[in-house]
Amino acid sequence: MNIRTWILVIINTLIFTVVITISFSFYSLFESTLDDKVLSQLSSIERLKRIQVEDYIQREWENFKKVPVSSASDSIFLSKLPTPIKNNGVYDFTEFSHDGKLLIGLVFVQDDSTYIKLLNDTFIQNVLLERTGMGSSGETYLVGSDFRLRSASRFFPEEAPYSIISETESVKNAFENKIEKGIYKDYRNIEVYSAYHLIEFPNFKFVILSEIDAKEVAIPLKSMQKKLIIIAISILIIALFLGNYLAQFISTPLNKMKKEILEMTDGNYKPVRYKKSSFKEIDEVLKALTELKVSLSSAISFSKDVGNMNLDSNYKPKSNNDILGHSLIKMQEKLIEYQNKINFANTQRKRNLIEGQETERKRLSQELHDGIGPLLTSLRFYVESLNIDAKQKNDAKEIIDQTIAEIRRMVYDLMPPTLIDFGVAATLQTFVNLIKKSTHIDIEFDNGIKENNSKIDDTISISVFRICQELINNTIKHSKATKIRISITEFDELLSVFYFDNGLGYNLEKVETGSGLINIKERVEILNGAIHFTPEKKHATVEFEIPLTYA
Amino acid sequence: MPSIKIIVVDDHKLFRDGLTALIDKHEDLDVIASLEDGVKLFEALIDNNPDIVLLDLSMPNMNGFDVLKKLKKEFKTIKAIAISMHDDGNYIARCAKLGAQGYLLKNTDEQELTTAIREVYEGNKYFSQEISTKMIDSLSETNSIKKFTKKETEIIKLLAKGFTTKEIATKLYVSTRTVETHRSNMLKKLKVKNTVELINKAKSLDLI
Repeated sequence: MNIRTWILVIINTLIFTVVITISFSFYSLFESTLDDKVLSQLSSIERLKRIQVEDYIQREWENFKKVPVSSASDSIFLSKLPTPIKNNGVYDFTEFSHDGKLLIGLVFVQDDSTYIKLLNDTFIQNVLLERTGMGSSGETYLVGSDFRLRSASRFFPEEAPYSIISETESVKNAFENKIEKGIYKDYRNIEVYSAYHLIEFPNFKFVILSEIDAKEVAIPLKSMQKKLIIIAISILIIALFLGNYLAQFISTPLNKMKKEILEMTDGNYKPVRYKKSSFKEIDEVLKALTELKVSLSSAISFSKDVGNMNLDSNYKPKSNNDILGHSLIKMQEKLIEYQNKINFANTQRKRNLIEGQETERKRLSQELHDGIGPLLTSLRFYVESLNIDAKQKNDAKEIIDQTIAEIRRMVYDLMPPTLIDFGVAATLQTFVNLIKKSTHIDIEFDNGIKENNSKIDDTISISVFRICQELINNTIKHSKATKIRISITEFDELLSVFYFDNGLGYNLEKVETGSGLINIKERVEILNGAIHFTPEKKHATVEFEIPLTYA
Repeated sequence: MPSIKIIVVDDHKLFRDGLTALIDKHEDLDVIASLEDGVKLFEALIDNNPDIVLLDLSMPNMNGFDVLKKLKKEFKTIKAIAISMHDDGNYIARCAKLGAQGYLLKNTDEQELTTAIREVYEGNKYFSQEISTKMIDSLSETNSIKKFTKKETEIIKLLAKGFTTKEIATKLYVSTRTVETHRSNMLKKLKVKNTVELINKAKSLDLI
């Protein structure tokens, strides 16, 4: 069951229950109030008419008592009665009425003569038919103790009242003097609101009933019911829409979250901007989701960096529980360690290569110098001491001298002996002097190496000399420079070399592979130094520093 | 006329023999010993008193430079002539500094060799034209102000004139970092905290 449906069901059930309960109680309250009103009205009408009827009869009787006179027709009626009347009083003669209508007789016995006055139904009927406040179906009528109607029925005006039998519960109640107004079935067997009362005369009893059809009374109830149903349905519909509207505040962000989380399962961790929700909790959940995504994204981008061996990338674990982050950092550390090992091994390899090369050059240089050199000079002495033609002797000496010169050149190229015996400054100075003499370049070397306690060892000397030699050779070969300045300065902890020429400059990226620049860089690298090129035209500089703590 | 007593010191026997043979041809020259290194030389000097030592520079036990130093200190009367394969001015200059009276290349002519020996014996110095030139080439200027190095003096002068570090670096063909390091070294040397104090104190000490 989704949340939307659930919210709708809950809201509507609640509202439905409330509406139904209120409607019912309202309806019943209205109904009972209406019942009371109708019955009390009926009862007051009944009382009014009862009093009028009783008064009328009483009044007629009083008048008749004062002047008892019988009319002829009345006397005939009296004589036709099956049983003679012996006592004074009012009698109900309706059963003897020729048209079945109410017939009240006043009988006065005086000195053996009996006087009678018949009262026809006209007055009483008028009183009863007076229908003020009785609606369209209300009537007031009289019933005799024989359960026959005494007054005309409104519904059967043509029929003789006496022929209509009304042996209803209300009438019975009235005769038993049980006065309970309420809803009963009348003589037509139709439900009516009924107020009734007994009218007692010494010789007979009537029941007066004021009634109105339940149907008529129910008309406002029915319309009320209709209205209530319309209102209830309206409320329910509104509730449905409102619930739907409200549910979206929860279900929309929830669905959004569901979508996002599903996307995350598919590997999309891009953070999304959410519309601000009206609810604090939802906002917080969305914020937490965004944070989760951001943190995952940063972990992912970090792992990407690590994967690309971009090991300078930084990542801060979100907490101690950030296992992913911690493992990534651990991975990075391992990779850095591994890379450092490789770098170290690489540098070591290069160092071994270059140092091996230099050692070999030094060895060869010394072999030539100390091995071949003395042999040649000895040979020269030998030739000198030969007793041969002077010209031949000179030619031979000339050849030997040239050989020695050649050996010296080779020795110098392999490894200038001064580099070991006098260090880089003296060697470089000699080299610079040589350049100065053999070219037109204005070249100066500024020596800032400590004269005492210099920390520059042979390895550094050789490298610095080779680098400077390479730089000078490059300048001469490619740059058309007219000025070269070299400055070497020894500080307590580092050796700084600055090289300047005013040549054409060069493009580091293009020149790199062919020239000796790689070699230069490697030499600096294996001494744990740093080198920086600014190959500008007219002002090309190279500066590098070598730490002297390097053992 | 007594002959000039000579000791030859070189680790190559063949060379020593050649040289000895060459010298011995001359009546006035007498090689009294032919030794292979400095240690042997000083052993020999206990019993011998040569006039001249012909000294090779590169030797396994106690090289030429060390021998020159010791001779200068302990045997002032013995004159040394370096005879070496090295034609670099640095070697020549150092020998001269350490008291060698002459410098010969090993492929020297007999003529030059004997001239050098005789000149030195007479109390002169012998450095051929070629050798002298090389020696002078290699001599570096070394007179610096007591407290500051040459470079530092240059830098502080420029600082005093109001140049920036960058300008000084460009002017002196050094890196800006070098200028910075020099500057901070000077601050340390004079125990001052900033450049203004540095210049003032340097002026008061007559360093600039």
